[in-house]
Amino acid sequence: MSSRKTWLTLVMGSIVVCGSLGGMVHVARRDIAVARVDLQAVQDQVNVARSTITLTPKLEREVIVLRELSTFVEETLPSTEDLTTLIEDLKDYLQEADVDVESFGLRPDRPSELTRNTDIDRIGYKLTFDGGLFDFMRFLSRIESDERFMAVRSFKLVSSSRENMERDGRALHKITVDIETYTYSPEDAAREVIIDGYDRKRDLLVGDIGTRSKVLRPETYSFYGDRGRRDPWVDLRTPAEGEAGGLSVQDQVILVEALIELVDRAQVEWGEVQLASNSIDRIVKRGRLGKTLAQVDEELRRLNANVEIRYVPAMRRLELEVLDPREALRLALEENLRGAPPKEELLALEEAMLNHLELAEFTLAMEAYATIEPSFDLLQADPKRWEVAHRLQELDNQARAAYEFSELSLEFGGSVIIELGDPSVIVIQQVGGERQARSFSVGDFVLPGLEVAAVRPNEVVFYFQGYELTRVY
Amino acid sequence: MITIDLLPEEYRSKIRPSLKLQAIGYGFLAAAVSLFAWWAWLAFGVSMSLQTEQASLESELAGLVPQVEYNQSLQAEAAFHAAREDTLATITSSRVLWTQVLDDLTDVVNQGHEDDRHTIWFDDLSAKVEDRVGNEQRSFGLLDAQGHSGSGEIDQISHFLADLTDREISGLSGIFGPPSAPEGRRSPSDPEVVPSVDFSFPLHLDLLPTAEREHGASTPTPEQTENTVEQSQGEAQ
Repeated sequence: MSSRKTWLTLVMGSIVVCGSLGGMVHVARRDIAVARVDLQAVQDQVNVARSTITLTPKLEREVIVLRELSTFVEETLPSTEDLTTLIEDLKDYLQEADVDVESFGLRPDRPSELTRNTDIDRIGYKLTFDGGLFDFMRFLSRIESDERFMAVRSFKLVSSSRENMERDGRALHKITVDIETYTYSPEDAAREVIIDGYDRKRDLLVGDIGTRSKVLRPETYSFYGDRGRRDPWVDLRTPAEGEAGGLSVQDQVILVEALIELVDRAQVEWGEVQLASNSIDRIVKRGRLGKTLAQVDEELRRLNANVEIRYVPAMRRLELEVLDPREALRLALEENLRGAPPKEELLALEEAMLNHLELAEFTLAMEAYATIEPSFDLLQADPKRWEVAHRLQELDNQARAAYEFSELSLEFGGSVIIELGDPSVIVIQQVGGERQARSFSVGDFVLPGLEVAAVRPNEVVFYFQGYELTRVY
Repeated sequence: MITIDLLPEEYRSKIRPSLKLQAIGYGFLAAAVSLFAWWAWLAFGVSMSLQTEQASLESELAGLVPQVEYNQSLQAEAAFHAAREDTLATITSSRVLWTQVLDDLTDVVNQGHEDDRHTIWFDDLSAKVEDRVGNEQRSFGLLDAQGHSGSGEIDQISHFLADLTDREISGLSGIFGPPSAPEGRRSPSDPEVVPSVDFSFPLHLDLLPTAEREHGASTPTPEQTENTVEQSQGEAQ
């Protein structure tokens, strides 16, 4: 083969090689371009991941705050209906408002527009009852401040008729109220994520949690009662007869309500008297009751002397809620005072008196005995109780003697105790305005009725009212 | 014809390939070498570098994935709680505190009576919050009552309606729109009661839209009321 042919072959071969290499370069470049795109994609993912992660601490804090608030939110907007608890709450609120429900029932379950296409369900209850305006407001206030979110969708009040007010003594309106509450049960509940160092992080967020909790809490209103105000759903017109110069309806109602409050207090105190555990407790509580009843009587006398209650509902309430219970209490108290105490009570009293004497509480022991003294004679009929009563009387005498002895003012200057000789005590007394030291031996009377029985180092024993009593100096 | 070249070797230069051919040959050779070098650079330089970089990034990404998943779980939990909060806010904002409404209405009636501006009482009351949402909604709820003004003077009803919008007496104007225009009808005179004359009138109040209602608008507490009374007494003296 000639050199030219060789060269030609070489050229041809080079062309083929160049073509192949060009193809390889092309493929390599294409692969690199694809790899660059892939790399950029991964780079983007990494960038997104990095930027996402930088938000994690903030998100963690948010989740901690939300999770801590979830208890409150769950209470406010529970996941379950729990109708039993709801009814129990309604019952409590009705009782607190002092109204008796006439009927209650679940409202027809029609979907609320407010909660359409949400995970919220509405539960509605309709209640009907008779009650005063302020009772109704107290009930509403409890509904609107309940931990579980409740709202009154509608209500209707029809005022009490004049005849009913005269019969009941107070305005009991016909009230119908629609109460509704909500449940929240999402279809896909989120799993609670484990957060490292949760407690420590939560402690750092206490302030945020408190602030958010305040914002979330549904608005409530504090109701402070009637505050002496007139019920606007009561016809305030008074009978024309004797109107001139009389008290306003509002003042008449206030006067009667003040008396009712006193009588209510007396009734509570009467309950306490009946529940008293022992005689001393009973006499203390009975005394308190007596004072309250005296106050009621005083107010009634003042009312009768100066004021005329003409407003019929107020008159009726005065009769039903003041005069009748007052009379009942008076009779019950008289009956209570008349009866003789049972043996158990006497024994309890004896133990109490012994305790008082041991602790040198002489006046308390005397006061304890005073509780049964009025019924002492009644005890004669029962020998067993009479025996205990006598012991109580003896304890009372001891207490009395000890008390009087303790009240004696004696100043001792010392004592003279000689072996085989009569011991004597030196008492400093005021004679004619001067202090004199006088010596008294056994058998001498330091004061009328106070005889020296024995003299020992730093103490003197006296006979006083039939008892041996020691004075230490 | 057969040609036999018999020239001695030293005379054969004339039949060597032309320079052009040689140049082309060398040119292609150079091109082939260059292409090979380029390919080698691409295949073993750039491509490997990219692969290394990608491997590094994928490794980093693999390390970040658990943290991203943790973040996503947190997001899901936050969204769950936030949805519940939003729901709560939606329904709580639509609630009307009727205790406050009745308390304020009672205050207006009582205060007006004490100041001899009006003598009002009612026969009934009905109140309702509409169960609808949306901008097309015309009524948001209402309060209706049949009232009586215990006076023959017709301006007492307008005094009462004016007091309802007085911010110093009640927060009703933050919850309801303005009351209807004063109107009344004289009831038959009853000589057995005082006052014997009264005008009956309708009270109608429309609830404001939820967004326009003043939340937290409330009448003064009893303590504040007492202070105000003491202050006004002091001023009067």
